[in-house]
Amino acid sequence: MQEQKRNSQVVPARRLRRFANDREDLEDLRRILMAPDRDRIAKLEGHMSPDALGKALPEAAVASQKQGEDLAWALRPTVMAAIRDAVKTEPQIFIDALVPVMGPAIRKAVTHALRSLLQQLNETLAHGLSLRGLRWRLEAARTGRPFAEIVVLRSLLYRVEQVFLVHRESGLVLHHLVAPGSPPQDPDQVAAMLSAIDAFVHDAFREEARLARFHVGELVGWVEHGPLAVLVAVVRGTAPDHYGDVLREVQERIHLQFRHDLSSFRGEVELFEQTESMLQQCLQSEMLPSANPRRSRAYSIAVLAAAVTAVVVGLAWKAHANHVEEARFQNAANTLRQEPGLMLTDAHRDGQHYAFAGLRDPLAPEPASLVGPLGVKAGAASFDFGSFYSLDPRLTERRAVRVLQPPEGVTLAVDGETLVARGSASRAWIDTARVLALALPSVSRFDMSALRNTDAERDLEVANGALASSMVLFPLGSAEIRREQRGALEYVARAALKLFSVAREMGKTAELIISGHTDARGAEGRNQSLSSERAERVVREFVALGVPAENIRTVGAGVTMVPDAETCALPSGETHRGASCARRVDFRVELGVERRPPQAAELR
Amino acid sequence: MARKKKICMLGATGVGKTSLVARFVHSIFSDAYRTTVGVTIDKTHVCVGGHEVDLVMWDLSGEDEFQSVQLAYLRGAAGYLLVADGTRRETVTTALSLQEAAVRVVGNIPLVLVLNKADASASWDIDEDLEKQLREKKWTLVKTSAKTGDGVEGAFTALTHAMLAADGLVQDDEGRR
Repeated sequence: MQEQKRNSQVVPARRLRRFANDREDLEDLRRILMAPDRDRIAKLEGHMSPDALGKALPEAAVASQKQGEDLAWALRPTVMAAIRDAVKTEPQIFIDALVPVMGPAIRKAVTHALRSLLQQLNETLAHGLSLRGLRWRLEAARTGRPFAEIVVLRSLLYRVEQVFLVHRESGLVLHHLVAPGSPPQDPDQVAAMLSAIDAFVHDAFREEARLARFHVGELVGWVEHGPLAVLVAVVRGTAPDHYGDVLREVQERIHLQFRHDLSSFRGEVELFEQTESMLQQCLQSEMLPSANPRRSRAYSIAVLAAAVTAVVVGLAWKAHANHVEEARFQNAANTLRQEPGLMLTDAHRDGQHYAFAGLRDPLAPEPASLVGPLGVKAGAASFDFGSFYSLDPRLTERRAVRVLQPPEGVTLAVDGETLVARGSASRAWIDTARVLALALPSVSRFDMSALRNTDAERDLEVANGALASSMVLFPLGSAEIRREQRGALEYVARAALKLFSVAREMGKTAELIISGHTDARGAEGRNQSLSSERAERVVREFVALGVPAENIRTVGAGVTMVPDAETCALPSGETHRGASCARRVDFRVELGVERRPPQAAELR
Repeated sequence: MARKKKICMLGATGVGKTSLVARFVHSIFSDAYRTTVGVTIDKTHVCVGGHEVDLVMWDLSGEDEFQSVQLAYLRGAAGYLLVADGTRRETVTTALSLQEAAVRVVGNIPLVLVLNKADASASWDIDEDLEKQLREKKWTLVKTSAKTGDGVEGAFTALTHAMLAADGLVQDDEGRR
């Protein structure tokens, strides 16, 4: 620099002027020569301005789209990077934008999944119930594969089971998809061996053509070669020819999009996970058209309807049977509950078996005999009853009959705590029953007021008859009892005592009426008093013989006729039967009902 | 990031390539492939230097007077095990010539020289001079015994390490050579 500076200082002024003139000429010359280029550069600079670029870019993008999708592929990494950056820094914008989109998308996916499930169910149902389905079932059993897999395999016209994207040079699998339900294999080993075979046949036959198809049993391998990668589809069945176009298109798109990754591939297989959506397009399948789908569907619906009906009928029958069983059980339990002498403490049902438990009075019927007529089979029910005394009136009555054993003509009834006997019985039974009745549980009173004592009635009748037919005869004008009349007097006294006793036994009152009489001779007044004396005289004798005076009433009847003189036994020394028999005392009994009858026994 | 690498087993017939692989993995293909196509494929997974690697192993049928190795199978390989039988000196020669042929197909990719049958020390045929010559090649040299399993895993690990180093994913360990 310093050298140049020094040189310029020594250049003479004349030379400098000439040099300046030369420069101007040169500049002119350059302007003339470069004029078109300068215009073009200026124009280009105009095009490069932000305004001009803003106008040109959309036009360029449209033009590029018309030619193909190269621009889209080219811009994709940049756009992706921009989106990734935006997602990181401002995620809320994306959340707001995605939420309205995600909902319908999820709904659509769910609908699709449900539709697939329904279709699968339909197919399985249709095939599962046919003769062909039976054959497939046998095949499934024989081969050990699931029935559903056999159905799918046999119903398919074709199905692409696997798609391999293989790196051409190394034979390494870049990405691999398997259709759901297809048998799994190791894709790396399969793809490598395919590459080896491809290389082998290529070298062996020295042909430029590569392995395009291979057949293995029901499988056909479709191989679509690209310059850097090979697409292999393993198809079960026969795919249509145009499936080759699908493979070719996908292969070309992968090459377009992943050309760089493929050419610099050093084992980074994760880069190729992005090919998934494209490979998915290769996983196609088509079902065999059914011989008569409508009929088949109708048949399936009919079978399904029949099955559902059978299930419904079965369930209804079961419910009905259960209802009937429950009703029978409840009926049996209620019967046992209502039966006097049984106390049901537990009742439960287990299907058709019943179990009852509680207490049973020995006089109550066997529980089994009660539920048997209700349709409960012997052995279908178990009974566990302990013993107890029931205080139920019906049981008390039953127990009274069992213990007292009433004779024919006697009935027993229980009213509260009172046992009531009705009818006619012997004195012996009544005496026993009076004691035993009060020993019965829950009986505190034995009412015999409606019970006739046949023995006492007879005794009363006899005693009454004896009294009514007896008389004591007196001498003329006297109230003295002749010696010979003493036998009659004692007989009557005994009959009276008996009658009083029986009357008391029968709950009756008895009054002995002793009537004194005279014959017609003598004054009336005297006869009246004499008749009273005679009655009183007999009373004194009776009292002396133990007859209670309070049960005796005397009557002075005066002069009366003998009602039936023929029956009068004529005393010795008497000749006039009528007069002799008129001087007498006769007897009559008046019976009444006691105010509080003694025909009831009570516990005190 | 998980990676996949294709590797090859290269060597003379009977040096024990298949036995080495069998020691390392379980194969899904039968030996019939080797006689018909000249290769069987096996796969295993290793982890070296923190890197997960799937090794897809191409076990090439051996070179002998009746058949030649299908060197086309080497294409796309990231490395190979060059296998020789330590009890048969001539297999080393075969290995060396195979290596030269391999370079013509795939270039200088990582390799590990394996001297197999190290358990048969009584009939060991590699003298110190030869071993010295081999070591001068600057290849990783591993003595293995497919019979006892000694050194087998080490051979595969060394090759994986070398391949990862070639990708610049791990430090090239000079001490291994």
